[in-house]
Amino acid sequence: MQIQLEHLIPEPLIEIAPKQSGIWLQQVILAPSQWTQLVAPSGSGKSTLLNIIYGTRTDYQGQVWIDGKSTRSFSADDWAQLRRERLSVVFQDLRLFADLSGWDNLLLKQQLTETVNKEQIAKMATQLGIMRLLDKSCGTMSYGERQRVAIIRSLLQPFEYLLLDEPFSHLDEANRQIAANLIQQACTQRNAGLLIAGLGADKYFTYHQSLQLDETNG
Amino acid sequence: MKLTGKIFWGKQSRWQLIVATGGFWIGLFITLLSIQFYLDIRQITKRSEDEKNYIIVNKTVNMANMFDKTISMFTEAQLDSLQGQPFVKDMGLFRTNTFNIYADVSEQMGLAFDLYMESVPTRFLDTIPASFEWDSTDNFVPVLVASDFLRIYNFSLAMSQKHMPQLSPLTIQLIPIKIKISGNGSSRILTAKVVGFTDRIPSVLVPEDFLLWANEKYGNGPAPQPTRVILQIDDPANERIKEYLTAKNYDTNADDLRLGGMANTLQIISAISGSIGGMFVFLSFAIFLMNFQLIISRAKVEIGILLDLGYRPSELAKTLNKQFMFILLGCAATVLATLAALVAALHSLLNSYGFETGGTVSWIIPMAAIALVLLLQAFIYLGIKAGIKR
Repeated sequence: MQIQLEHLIPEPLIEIAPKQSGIWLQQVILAPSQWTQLVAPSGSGKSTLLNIIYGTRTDYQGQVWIDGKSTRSFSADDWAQLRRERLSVVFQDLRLFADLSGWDNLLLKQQLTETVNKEQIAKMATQLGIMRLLDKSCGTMSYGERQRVAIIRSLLQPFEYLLLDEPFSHLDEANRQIAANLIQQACTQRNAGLLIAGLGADKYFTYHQSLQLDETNG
Repeated sequence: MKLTGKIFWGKQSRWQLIVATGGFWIGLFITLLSIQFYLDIRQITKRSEDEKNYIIVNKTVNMANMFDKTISMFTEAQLDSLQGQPFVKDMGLFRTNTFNIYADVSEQMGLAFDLYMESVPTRFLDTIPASFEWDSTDNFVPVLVASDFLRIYNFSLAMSQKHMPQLSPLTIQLIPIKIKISGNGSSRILTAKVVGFTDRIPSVLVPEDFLLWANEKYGNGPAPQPTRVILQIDDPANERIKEYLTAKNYDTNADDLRLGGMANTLQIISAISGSIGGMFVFLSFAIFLMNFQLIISRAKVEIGILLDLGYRPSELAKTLNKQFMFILLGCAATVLATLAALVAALHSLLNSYGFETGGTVSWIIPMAAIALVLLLQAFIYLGIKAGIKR
């Protein structure tokens, strides 16, 4: 899957976006299977960018192309299909169901494609140290625990690109390494592209390219 | 899809659901009850309306008739004039027997008497039992009797004569009546049976073809001109009918014509009850849809997350739709059951006041319930689709 950004700018940023952004109003190509690091200070719009690519925000100018098709032309069913089988995401706000248990949150994703079986889910949860917590409702978990649930959830489907928005912000060093290994494994297995947005450079992945969202501050 | 249902309903306040469902239940109940009332009242008024559209006309009897019975007969010209009136939709002639009839129920009731028979064309009868058919190869003659005759027998004659029992409509239909018809030099024994009762025509009626056959074979002389005719009229309130009958010195059995046009109170009542029913339909719909909008908007965030996960809007709409359908059908089923019980109870109450209602829920009611549920479901489906789209 190739994602192409053409003169993209979110409407709220039109007045205040810096002239030298590596993304906004530029031509950006996220090539298939390419791993990209997106460095951006908070408030510069990286979550907005991920939401635009994922189709959950439409208040922008310019174009987003996925495999040569403008995402503006996608129907609700097209998006559903894409989110099931080709594009996965961990949002910064995680978007878990607080009232459901960790397990139910994971099964909601798992049952859509059944790419990963329950034993494999349990294995990942054990590696990340949240196996015992999965019966608790997500609302009662700590943010770090929820982050791990969301990371596992993003790996329970086929995908050609994985979008991660500050996925490790509330994890300790040991869990960051384990999570990074799981992600790396899943992407390699699927030959998938990866786009990680973070506040600064990280050492967990080997990136093909690094983009600065806001060069004046970066 | 069980989990998606859990997410959706988990967000709803229990009270709100109960109130929304309860509101719909009551709304549906009152709506269907109004329709049932409307149908019942219409049935009652329609029956009496129908009756008012049939009048029996004869000439006024005065002293002269005592000496010359033919004065009572309608001439062909008079019949043509009557039939030609704009208010007459249809006209039927009463035929009467020109032979002798002797009825014998001495075995059953110790009674034997001279009898007369009349006939009108079948289309003028209010009740036509299946057995009211004459077969020329059979010795059986079916008879329709005016309900009033039975009343007179039961409450006047039988009460005054010790050896005469009172008879229910069902019993009287079981009694075979031996009749002997004679004239024109021959006679025949036949068996007659009362097969039904008529409120419209105060007479003893036999099938017209039987009477024509018997008059031909046993009649003493040619059939006389009719003395009574039955008319189907367009509107009993039409003043011209009264004017015409008075001018011709004709008499009629119709009270309403004599009294002039009476206000159709019951019809007005039924119209009012119908429009109140319509208002309830509208209100219950509005209440339910408003509650429903609230239920959908409460789950807006959850629906959004499900879409983010890759659930199809159509899939979610279908699941939610199914669950609402379940609620609506559950309501409809319990409402219908309650209604059936209530109508049965009301039926006996109404009957005690002399109104005859079916006593069962009209087939229109379940149809109306299904139609309302489907209509509401269509609105809900559109609402869900609109609510899920972002």
